[in-house]
Amino acid sequence: MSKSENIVISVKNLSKSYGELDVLKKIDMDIYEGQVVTIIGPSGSGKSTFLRCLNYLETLTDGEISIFGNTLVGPKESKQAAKDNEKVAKEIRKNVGMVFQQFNLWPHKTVLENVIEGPVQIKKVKKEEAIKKAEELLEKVGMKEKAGALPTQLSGGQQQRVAIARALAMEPKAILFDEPTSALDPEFVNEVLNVMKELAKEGMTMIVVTHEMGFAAEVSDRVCFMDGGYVLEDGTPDEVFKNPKTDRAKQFFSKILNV
Amino acid sequence: MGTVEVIFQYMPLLLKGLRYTILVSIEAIIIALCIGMLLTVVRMGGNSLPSRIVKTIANVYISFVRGTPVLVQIYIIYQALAVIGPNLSSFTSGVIALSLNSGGFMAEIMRGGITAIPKGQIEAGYAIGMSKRQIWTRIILPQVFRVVMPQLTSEFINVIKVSPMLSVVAVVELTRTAQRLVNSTYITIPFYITIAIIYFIVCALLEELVKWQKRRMLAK
Ligand SMILES: Nc1ncnc2c1ncn2[C@@H]1O[C@H](COP(=O)(O)OP(=O)(O)OP(=O)(O)O)[C@@H](O)[C@H]1O
Ligand SMILES: [Mg+2]
Repeated sequence: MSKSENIVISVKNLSKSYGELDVLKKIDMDIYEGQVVTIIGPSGSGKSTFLRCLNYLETLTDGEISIFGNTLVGPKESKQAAKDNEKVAKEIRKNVGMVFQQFNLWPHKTVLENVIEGPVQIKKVKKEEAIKKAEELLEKVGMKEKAGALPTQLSGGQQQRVAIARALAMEPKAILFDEPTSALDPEFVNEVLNVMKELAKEGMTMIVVTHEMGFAAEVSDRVCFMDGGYVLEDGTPDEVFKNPKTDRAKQFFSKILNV
Repeated sequence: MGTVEVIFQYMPLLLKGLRYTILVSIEAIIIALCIGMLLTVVRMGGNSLPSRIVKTIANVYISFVRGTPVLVQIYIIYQALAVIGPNLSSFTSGVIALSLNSGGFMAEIMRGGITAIPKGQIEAGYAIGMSKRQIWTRIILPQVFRVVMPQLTSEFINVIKVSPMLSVVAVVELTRTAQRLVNSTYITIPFYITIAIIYFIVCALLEELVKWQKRRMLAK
């Protein structure tokens, strides 16, 4: 199941609640270097929340998350402890990129400016250098011609490819994808999946929340099925798709296969 | 002498009044922008007890400004200033009254502009490791002004249109000048129409100026 013995992301006993609503319930998950993990499950099962806890876009209610040696701890009641988590989050975000369902490009910046923003402002890379690197990345995702365009002038698929380039520009060791193709018209889904496949081939550690079962089956090393805040299935695509252990997963698969 | 000649004869006086209208408005707009920004920053502050207290004060202030007549506000400020700083000129008091009023409206406009920025853009900033400060300077503020410029322009124009009310506290701006001329010449409607045209031209010019500035910004 693992490409390497190196655990790079380790989630222990992670819980997340919004007030009375328990969204994640004591999740444990170790992810190895270079692994491509897809997370599937019905709407509201906590998939996005799980990803967002990993880079601290959400605080943790309980448990621990270690990513490349930086550890977030919950719960955080004291001010100092929350500050510590903020600091750790900064380190984690240097190593972990994120790609969103809605792309979230900055509309007042051109494609190129979106991509160099992180390297120049956060990593303090020289602008010329950042531009050179950005052009390579845009070439890689097939968007070099559009370097000077504004995000609003692009299709969804194009915007998402730029968003991936923007994440890559920070030279992350892992990337989180939250339904990267769900907001796209069907004809644009593949161009984005292809870029992701390419990354997977290059050995990027990836956690991908998706409804694209084909991608999950073909590209991922590991599939996790979430429901009601639990990870109910966790195994290779074959194990999970062909022999799901839980009724919930069976139901879910029969439903989506019937669509 | 015909009416038109009389009006032209007094044009220099009217233009002097106009000068005060413009001065009072420009100063009020600039100060109001600062007040608006200050209030906005305060209202976006954190959840600590001190921040919550100033936030509440800011909110009460803005509700008061938006929920009471300008004229009443002008009377209150004018009287209050007469106690605090008896040496202030009526011009200065007028500027202060207008800025305090318009600042509240501008704060509301600016907050609207900030909340109009999709949360996802801000999260994308955090996700690449931006600090709060960078989120503000790199993502929010550059967009806010673009978003709120049309509404802010209306508010600028509003300041000009409210400025005649300062005549009640003896600022001799355009409308007050016209009133005096009406009293001495007994020519009424022509004078009022004349200043209406002058106000209209000033507001139209301001609008064009903002549009031109916006085009220049976009071209960059
Ligand atoms: N900020 C929030 N405040 C309160 N409840 C929230 C918040 N964010 C998410 N939730 C709730 O948490 C639950 C899990 O949400 P989450 O977005 O993680 O689900 P998901 O598995 O990603 O679903 P989808 O497939 O629809 O994206 C949902 O019931 C949602 O309403
Ligand atoms: Mg989701």
